[in-house]
Amino acid sequence: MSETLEKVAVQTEESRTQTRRAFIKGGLAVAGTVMFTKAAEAAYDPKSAAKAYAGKKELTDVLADGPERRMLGKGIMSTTYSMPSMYEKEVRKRTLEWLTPDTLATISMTPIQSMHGMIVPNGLHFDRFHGGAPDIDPATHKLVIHGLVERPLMFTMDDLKRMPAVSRVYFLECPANGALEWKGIQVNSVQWTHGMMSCSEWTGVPLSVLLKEAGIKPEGKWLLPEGADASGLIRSIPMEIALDDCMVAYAMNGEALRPGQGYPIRLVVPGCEGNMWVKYLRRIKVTDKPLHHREESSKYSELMPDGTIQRFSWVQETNSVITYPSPDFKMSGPGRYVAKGIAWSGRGRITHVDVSLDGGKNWKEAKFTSVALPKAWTRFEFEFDWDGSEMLLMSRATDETGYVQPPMAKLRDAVGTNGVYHRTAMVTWLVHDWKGKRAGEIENVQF
Amino acid sequence: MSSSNKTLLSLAIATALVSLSGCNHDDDKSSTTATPTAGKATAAAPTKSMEDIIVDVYGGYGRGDDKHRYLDAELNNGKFGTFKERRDHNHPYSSEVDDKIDGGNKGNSACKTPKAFNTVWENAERNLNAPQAIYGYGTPVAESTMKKWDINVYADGEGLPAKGVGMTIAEGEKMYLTYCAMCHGEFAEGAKGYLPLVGGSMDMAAADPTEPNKFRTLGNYWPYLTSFHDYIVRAMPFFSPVNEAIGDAGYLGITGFIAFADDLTYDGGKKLTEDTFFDSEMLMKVSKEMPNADKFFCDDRPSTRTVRCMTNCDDSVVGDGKGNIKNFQRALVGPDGKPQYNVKAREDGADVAAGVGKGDH
Repeated sequence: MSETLEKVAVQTEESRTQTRRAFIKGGLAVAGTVMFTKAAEAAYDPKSAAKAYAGKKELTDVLADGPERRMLGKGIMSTTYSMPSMYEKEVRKRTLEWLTPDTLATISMTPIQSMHGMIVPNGLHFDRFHGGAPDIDPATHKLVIHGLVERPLMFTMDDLKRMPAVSRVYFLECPANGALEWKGIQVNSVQWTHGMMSCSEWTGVPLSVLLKEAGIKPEGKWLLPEGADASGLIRSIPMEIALDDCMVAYAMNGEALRPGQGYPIRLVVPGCEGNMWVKYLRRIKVTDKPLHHREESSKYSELMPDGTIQRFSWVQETNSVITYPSPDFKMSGPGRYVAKGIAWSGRGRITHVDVSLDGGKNWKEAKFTSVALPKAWTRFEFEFDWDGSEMLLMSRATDETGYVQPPMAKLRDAVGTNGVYHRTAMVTWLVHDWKGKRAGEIENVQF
Repeated sequence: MSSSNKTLLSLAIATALVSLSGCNHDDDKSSTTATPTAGKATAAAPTKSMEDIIVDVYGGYGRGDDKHRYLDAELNNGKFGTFKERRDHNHPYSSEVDDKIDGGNKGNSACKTPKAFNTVWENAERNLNAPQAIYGYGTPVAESTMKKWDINVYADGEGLPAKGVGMTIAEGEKMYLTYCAMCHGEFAEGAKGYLPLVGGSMDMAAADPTEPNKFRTLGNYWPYLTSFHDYIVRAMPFFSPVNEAIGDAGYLGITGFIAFADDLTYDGGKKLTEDTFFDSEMLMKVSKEMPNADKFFCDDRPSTRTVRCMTNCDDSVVGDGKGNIKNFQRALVGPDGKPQYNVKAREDGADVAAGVGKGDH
């Protein structure tokens, strides 16, 4: 790294502390790049508040009370399970009918563009069904651990809830997230480009505790977790990953799992392909070999340009996306903007997110606006002044292993475009010229 | 917030989180001891940095130092070498081949956890060796209780019906026509939006990124016929899986028919015929000759290596990878000049499918 770059790195590190002085220094350090020098702020002056609004028409009408000020609202028991305001009806999971021939085996996407913070509410968690979502009676549901164990055991839901539990925040992502656009641009919303993903607080029994309860035999090297639903989905998970941080979860975000998420229990395999998080979990067989199930050979495997096929690619690599401004929004004229987004990595914690406004030539570090937990969504923000000219907006995440999210051209060179899964390269939002025909529109484009 | 309040809060969080973690790590760096400030604090609890708390709760992740990186930094070096390199079983990211797993199938790869995933190994060992009570809440069950649930069929043939259970491929075709053809077509050529099961090109190479994706079929995209058989028993017919009316012999017949329809071979290139009796023995013979089995591999190296450049970055990471930021693809444009996104809601010019935004945030 050149001396200049090192200097910038140090200063951007400082800028995360958000002291004003560091921020100014950070701005100056990249002097010479048009976009970023504009982002540098002068010291705060109360009078500047008036200045920024100088051009806007002052409102003089007396504000009237709304109807809700003059009548009583609903009673405390009008609902025993609160639902979103009637004005939030557009914030919905959505699917693309053309993805599969059957609605029982397809995917819905989370409206990422409308999400805030690290947690996706349970009602908006994306769903991937392989044979519809059953509604299983927890009173009859059972989990059996058998195979290469000292003592095959069956647990009822009551048994599981008596066991020690942990609560941890993890993202859950379908490895096909972003798969629609290997060959080019097809969709124009973060819901479609990144919506096969959510982040929740999961509560359940650590898998290591359950396995030790049954006693793993030394030759037990693999786990084959299986669902109780019509698809009978099963995957092979190596013992090390199972003992690391997997759990058998019965709750998400404080309440029972939703039927679409595996009620009453599912496996949680942090940082790994969503397909491994087996829902409706009824059985875990400990074996000395993987099953080579369809979902780890013929599906969830990546075709390479030379015709070879990579499989068992468990980890969801470092990724990020700017959710605002993004194609669901329009710019409202030149001025100050606060870009917002999410970053995540299956290999641990996010350590940096950088934003570029010029197609990747220059970058500046965004600040985190949430805690950065391992294998969880990390929120970031980045402020900039828009002069109304065309702009190419991108984000780039780095995780604690030092892995840096690649540009699309680089990922395409490495793995081609036939892989279907694990498209984790940067996306690019083209912000149209304010003076042009598509003034302020934000378009999904691909390098 | 005053500093004493901060201490109290962090203490409370530390205590709560550590007790939830169920696995205190022995590498406790926090040696400082908080002074109880009020009340009847009994024992002095150690204060922990937020970093340490995260490590406690999430295992080894979150340290971020070189020693505890999930991946060995030295190995973080781009992915795709030659095909041969990917099969270097001494490579820390490579899988380990164990021929006994699939009875000598040339394409076998057990794809074990790479040695390079050091945090995974470290946490696994710690959790395995952590002292733990045996709670005794479960109910002991005999392995035989799993007779109906455990229908796994492994690559080495374990789990297949006994030799001699099966039917001729001609009989299998009848089963296929009854239970499968309505979705997959009479000749497994696909129907109603379901893709073909057979007839794919065995050469899957596509160096040009604009080349359309090749159809993935039984012959070109399944390393083991056992996996295919396991899957159709487990999940097919879609509306009624594990179908007793089809039975062990019927499912073998269907597997046999589709293998026949895709020109799969056995015993060194012999063709299946309508008269071939298809049972577990024949299935294993065919499974050993899956045409593309040796093309499957595991390699868990990070997919790319990118430098975190901040200013005036190299052309290779700018725009199209050659420094051109004008060379980007957009959605195809329809006759009316509007972009043709694959989303109906957007084709009528509605810029906001979700109804959010519209200029304000």
